[in-house]
Amino acid sequence: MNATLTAPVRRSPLAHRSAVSAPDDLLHLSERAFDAKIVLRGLPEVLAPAVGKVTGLAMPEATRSTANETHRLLWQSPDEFLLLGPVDGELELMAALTAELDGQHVQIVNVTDYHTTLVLSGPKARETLMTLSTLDLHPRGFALDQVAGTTFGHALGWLVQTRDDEAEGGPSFEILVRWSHADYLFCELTHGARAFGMPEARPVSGEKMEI
Amino acid sequence: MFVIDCPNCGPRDQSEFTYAGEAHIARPTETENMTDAEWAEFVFMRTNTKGLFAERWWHATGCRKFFNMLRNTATDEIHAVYRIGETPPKVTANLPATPAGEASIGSGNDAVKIMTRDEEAAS
Repeated sequence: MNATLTAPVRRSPLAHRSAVSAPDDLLHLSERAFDAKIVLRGLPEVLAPAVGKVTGLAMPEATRSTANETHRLLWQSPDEFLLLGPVDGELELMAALTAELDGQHVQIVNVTDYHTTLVLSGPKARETLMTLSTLDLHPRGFALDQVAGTTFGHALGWLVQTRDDEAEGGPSFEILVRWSHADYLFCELTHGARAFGMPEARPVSGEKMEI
Repeated sequence: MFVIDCPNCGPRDQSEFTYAGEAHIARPTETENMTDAEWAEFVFMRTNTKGLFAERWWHATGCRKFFNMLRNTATDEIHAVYRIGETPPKVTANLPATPAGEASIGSGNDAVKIMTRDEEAAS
């Protein structure tokens, strides 16, 4: 049998798109696929020792996230957290967390293939997101490491700010979006950034762009 | 559209939330002894208050938790937001003074709108 046909191959939901940018470094939009993503459910005080031991992260406060070079932990609800890790690290993380939390009242689910991550960065990133969301995205209302689950156009997503506004290149946001909504959201973000010279993309499935 | 202060996530737009009916309706115990009438009362009958009303809401796109809200159904004024299991807080509401209890202002129901003398003369 041909080994290349049976080899496990992953194809990201936006494999047919390439990263796009607006002129003058105003905006960059790209996909970062296959991050390890693990949903942790349980009380924070129960999860905290295991998460600290495996990833070195502290539990985030409500609507916040904590991060180091390799991992990021997002607050999603009082008893639900989303752990992001390096590509291909999900099985290792699952095994380590399962071993640490053995017998506790928690749930650990590998959701790596549920979502993909859209990275939107640049000085105009906030204004682009404002065209799609009802969130208060003023820097006073949404700051570094903050997390919010909301709708962007018709797509549900989790928004997190990963780079400060004062940093070189402007703020950077990541949106965790369902696999099947990723193309629609990619196109909506380019559509929302038309004013900054972003090349527009049209959804391959023909979804309506008007909200 | 109005802003709802989710007890977990903070103030968010109404479009992120889903209405989940009247609050504080206890599920009956000893359901095996209940008559059809009692079941109907539990399942279908709601107070449908015009004025201050305790209701459940669900933050569908954020924390995905239910919570309770005291809202004036006539004016959409939100008086309090509190967690499931808590008793409704005491609030001071500016409730309608009309005999039937309608809101004097802000009601979308034209049938109960109070008209000024000028409007009355014009109609």
